[in-house]
Amino acid sequence: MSVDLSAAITTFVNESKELLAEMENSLLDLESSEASADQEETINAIFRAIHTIKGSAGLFGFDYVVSLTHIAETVLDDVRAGNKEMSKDLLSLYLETGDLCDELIQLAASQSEPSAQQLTQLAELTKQFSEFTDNVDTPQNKDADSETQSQDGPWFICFVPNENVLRNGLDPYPFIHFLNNEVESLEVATNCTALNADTPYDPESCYLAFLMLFQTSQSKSVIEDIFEFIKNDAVVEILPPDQCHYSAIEDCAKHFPDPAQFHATLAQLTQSRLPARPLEPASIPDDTEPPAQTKGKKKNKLHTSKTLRVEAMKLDRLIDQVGEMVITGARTNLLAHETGNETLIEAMALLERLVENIRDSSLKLRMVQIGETFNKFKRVVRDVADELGKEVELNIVGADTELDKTFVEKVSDPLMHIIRNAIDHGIESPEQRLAAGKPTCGQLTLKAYHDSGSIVIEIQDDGQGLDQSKIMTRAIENGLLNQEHSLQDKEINLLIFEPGFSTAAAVTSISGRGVGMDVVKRNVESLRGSVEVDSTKGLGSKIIIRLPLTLSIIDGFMFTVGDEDYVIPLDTVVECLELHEVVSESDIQDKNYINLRTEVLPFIRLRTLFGIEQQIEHAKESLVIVQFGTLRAGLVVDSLQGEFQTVVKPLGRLFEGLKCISGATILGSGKVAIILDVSALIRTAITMYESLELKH
Amino acid sequence: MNSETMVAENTASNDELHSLLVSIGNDTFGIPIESVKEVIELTDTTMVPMCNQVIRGVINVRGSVIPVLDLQHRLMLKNPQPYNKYSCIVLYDFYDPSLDEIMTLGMLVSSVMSIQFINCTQLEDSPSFGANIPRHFVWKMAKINNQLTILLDMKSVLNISEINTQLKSSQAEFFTRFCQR
Repeated sequence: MSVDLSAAITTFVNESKELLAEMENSLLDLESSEASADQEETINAIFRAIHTIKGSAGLFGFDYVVSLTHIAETVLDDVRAGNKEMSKDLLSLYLETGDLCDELIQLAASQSEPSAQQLTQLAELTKQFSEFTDNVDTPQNKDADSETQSQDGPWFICFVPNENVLRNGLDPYPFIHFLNNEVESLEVATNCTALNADTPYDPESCYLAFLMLFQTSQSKSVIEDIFEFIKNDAVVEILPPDQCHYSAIEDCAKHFPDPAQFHATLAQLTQSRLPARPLEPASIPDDTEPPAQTKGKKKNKLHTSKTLRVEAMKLDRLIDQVGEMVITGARTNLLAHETGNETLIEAMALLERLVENIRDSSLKLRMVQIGETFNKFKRVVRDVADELGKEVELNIVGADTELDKTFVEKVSDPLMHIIRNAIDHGIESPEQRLAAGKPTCGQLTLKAYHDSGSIVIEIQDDGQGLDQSKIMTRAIENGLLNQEHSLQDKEINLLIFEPGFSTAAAVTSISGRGVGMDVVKRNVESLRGSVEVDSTKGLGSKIIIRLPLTLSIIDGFMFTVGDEDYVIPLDTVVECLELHEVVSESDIQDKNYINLRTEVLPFIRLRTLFGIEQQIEHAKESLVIVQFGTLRAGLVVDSLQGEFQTVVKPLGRLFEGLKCISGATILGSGKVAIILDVSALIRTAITMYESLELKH
Repeated sequence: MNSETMVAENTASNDELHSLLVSIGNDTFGIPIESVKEVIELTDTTMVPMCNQVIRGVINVRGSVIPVLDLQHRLMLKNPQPYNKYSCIVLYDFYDPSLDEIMTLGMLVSSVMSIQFINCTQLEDSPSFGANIPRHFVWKMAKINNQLTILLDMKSVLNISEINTQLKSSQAEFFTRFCQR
């Protein structure tokens, strides 16, 4: 396979994936919403998706995909025309088709044959679809069928490819060649007068037009199908024998680039096979069969692209470069201030602001709305609920919350596990729910929002909640805990994230192996996030995932400890105070907490933590109060430096896994400053204190 | 196996290998020169909090942040000497198989002495005991100017996962010390 083609196939696979996802979404929309004005548009969207996949698959010769999409398209066309209701069965059928189609495309792209099972599935789907077509055979189709049986006269085709057809990668010849195989006594008249001496010859343009006569016992739709893939790039007028009247043929002249030449071309064909000059007035209503060409045009119009595909690498490079610019900008600003030249400083300030804008907009390029990921779960919820015989409604809140693309990919898997668990273990069966005085339909809410420098994703269900005594019993059975351990509710809840932990009595296809929630914890922690569980027995549970907004450029807050500068994310800073103003030196001799406005606030003296021996005066120390989720604590530092645009540079594998250090940045002076991970710092301190207390 | 591949790499040209001779503390060591990217003067390094002494700090080399190892501590030399104006940072490129990319590390040495061509016949195995640095850091000994010089096994000296484990335990120690006060 040539390199070019494989690249094209990759594009096709990606494109199909998107289209199938879009289709699935539309199908689920259809299922959930009542009949509305939008419904028509939604069905059209599904139709477009199937049609596009069919067309592209045809180009690459992926026959299985073509045959599957073809029948799906045919049935959907009926629905579109209003001859058939979009029933629940049909929706399911389409969802299955989408899945199989995805598999088939993957297989075809890797040049492997589908498995026997997939072939049976394909046959099964095709059969089910044909049942639908049989039931609602449209009058049009019947007509077409009867036509072909009764008439045995000549067929006439006027086939005029657009000038751009070759540039679009289609060659008209194979279509004619294929037609020749399908029909008998094909006769082709070719016109090439569009190519004249006045205009320069462009080898990439198509100047040809064809008129064809043939005999066949096939139905009109079969013939139309032959030209299916080119009909967006050509005028194809097919006249079956019963419509093959003189006037109808005459009408085709308008499709010719030069209508005057139409008759000359027509003359090339065997005249006896053509219908005679008008013996009877034209009685064929023109609008019985809308020409394929107008249909095609309409489709093109609707298919407007909203997005631009950009390679992720290019974006990364752009952001790197913007980072460099921010650093250099800070440095230049510093130098400008040193000169004391007012005009220069002013100009620099303006430049800084522009750089900041560029930084923000280029960072936004990487951000995607989480809604896309959430929508994927509609299907999961539907399928899992169906399988378990439960009724579940999925609510999505905050679908427009934006987060970094890399995060979206990594967070999708954990969410899937949580949702499956919530439906399997959380939400009860309709009977149980009724008995508990709840509505039969369970509510599952996916919610996303920004909160103090992190992104929070909540998955809430109104099911039975976690059974803490059951969890404890199982934990002791599994040897995770001793009998004597007494844990707080929150800690018990967190046990569900232990690897291999499951309270399910039986392993089902959906959950029970105790693997899923372990994956959740690991994935989230690898993104430096955290998971919390909040559950009330009988009322439901809520899983809260917190992810940092780790981006390559953040707004930082800088302070000094010892000889070094440190940066923390500005969003985590709540307030800054002079330590001596809040508490006197004698009050905190050996304590690590203060009383701040009647609130107890523990703090970490970074100087001590970092092992810097010499002390500084109490009066000079500052207190930075940081908040992470519900956690609030203070950091005692030497002096404050203020806000600072921070380009996060990775520290590399040498420092990997060092919890409290999240990266480094380069200051305007060219010096490096370490970025501290405040939440990890505080949490590590908490666990350390706790483990020390246990020992005592 | 390590040493064999290194011989293969180094002896590609006429059974001769090029070595950068550096002094670390009071001793002279040889570093294979192929992967030495550049030698820069000792600039201000930024200390990384809660790390042990093996890490001197991080520096900014044309926009990237590069960790610097203190080779005196890494080789566990006794009586570490203070660094002076002759001290240099040797930037060393090496391939990291787990990430499939080249990474750069800085190594702080007391001074850089010379570049030496060493004939492979001059190489000798390291003594089974008696060397002043752990044996796994030694690749070969070479007789240069009638003096035996240790050629370092860089794969072992720059064993990232080993250093990383050290750093993690050192960080935990810092926290324990802090919380116990």
